[in-house]
Amino acid sequence: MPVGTLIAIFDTTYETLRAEDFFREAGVVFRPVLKPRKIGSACRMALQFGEEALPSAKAAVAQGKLALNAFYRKEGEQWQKLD
Amino acid sequence: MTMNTKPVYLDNAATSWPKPEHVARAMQTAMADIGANPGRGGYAQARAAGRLIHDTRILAARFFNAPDPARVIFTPCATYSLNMALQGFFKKGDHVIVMGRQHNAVIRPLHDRRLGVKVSRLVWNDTAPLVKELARVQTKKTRALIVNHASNVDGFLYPLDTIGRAAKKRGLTLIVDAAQGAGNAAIDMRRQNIGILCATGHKGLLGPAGTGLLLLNAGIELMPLIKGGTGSYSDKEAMPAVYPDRLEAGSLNLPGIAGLGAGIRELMKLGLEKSIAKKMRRTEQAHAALSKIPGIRLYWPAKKELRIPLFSFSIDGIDPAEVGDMLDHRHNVACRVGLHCAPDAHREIGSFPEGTIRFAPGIYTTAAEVEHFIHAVREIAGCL
Repeated sequence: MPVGTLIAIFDTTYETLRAEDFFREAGVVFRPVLKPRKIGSACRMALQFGEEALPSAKAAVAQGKLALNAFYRKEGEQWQKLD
Repeated sequence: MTMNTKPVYLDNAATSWPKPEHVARAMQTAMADIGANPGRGGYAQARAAGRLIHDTRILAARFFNAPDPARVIFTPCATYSLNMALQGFFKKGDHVIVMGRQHNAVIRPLHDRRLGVKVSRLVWNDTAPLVKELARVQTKKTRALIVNHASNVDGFLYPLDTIGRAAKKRGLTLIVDAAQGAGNAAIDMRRQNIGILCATGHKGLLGPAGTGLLLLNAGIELMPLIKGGTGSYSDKEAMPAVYPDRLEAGSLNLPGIAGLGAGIRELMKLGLEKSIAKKMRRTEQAHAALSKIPGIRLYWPAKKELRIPLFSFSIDGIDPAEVGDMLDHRHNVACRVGLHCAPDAHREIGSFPEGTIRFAPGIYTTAAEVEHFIHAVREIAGCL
């Protein structure tokens, strides 16, 4: 089971499921997880993946015109939003 | 005439039956193996449920050539879809043109005073240029043209290509009631300029009861009729602005949607054109035989391109309810009789208030079953 330090959060369940398809197609190894509560109170799913897959994940977002909320990186106990 | 031991079901315009085996199997799998509530949890079963819904959304979008699967909304039936469309699209003071043999699912919401919409009816039977006809009744406040794609009474099929072009020329949003049309005629949201498409899942699409679809084209915005939990943006009091969440408050009917997906897949596997052609052969078989029986009035458009595989009939001097009763009790034939929730359609074809008996075969109706029906009608009409 891949464990990464990055997560991608999308606007809806629908977009997250689309993202799964595009991530898979782009060869991104990911794990669907619940969005960490420290990022915000809204219930949402997120896709967790490793640092090495970030370029492919970004490409998948562009390819699928996915409604990405943001990428986050775990640093210690905190989640930092990526630019 | 002896009682047929097997029922001959000719009420597929009410709901299709029997359903393909895959439909029941898909529903069973959804209940026994998935079970969880889609979009309401992050665990494997909930994700599997979400995936099933997602895949069915994409399938439905492909079937109707809708531009965006996110704008495919699951509803309990076409009536709900129409209520969501009409109450979500119009605002007080708007004007709307309705065309076609309308069903009460359109007429009643439009006549609700709280909606405050002015309605003009346009009778058009593909004989005059539609753009000119629309211009005649259109006002500055006209926002939409509503058409009943196919009549559940006489099978009249409104040509959506022509209507879509005319609506676009007049700057009107085209709202289509496809309760009967879906699965009985080709529907292409993009090519036909359909703004809002309302369909049921349990008739021509072969899915189970309790399923319906509401499909929105790009740029169409609806106010949500039902508000509540969506599994998203839970920290906000307002409904999400994004689709499908905006219009899908509350738990979705997972087994039903699984069955609907299986129904659409079966239809695609059989081929829409082939399945329509098969039903049409059965309908023509019955229509041709009944047209030779004295005292029978038939209601089916003369032009082949303007009809779906169902028609109505009546027998002079016999109440349609009595005919239906005799078909049922003496011959084990199931047909719906009366006004079919569409009094306007009956007024238009001249069968109001008595109503008619409706012949509506399905994809599994056999030629032998149709022969049994014909024999039964001959006997009732006094020809045997």
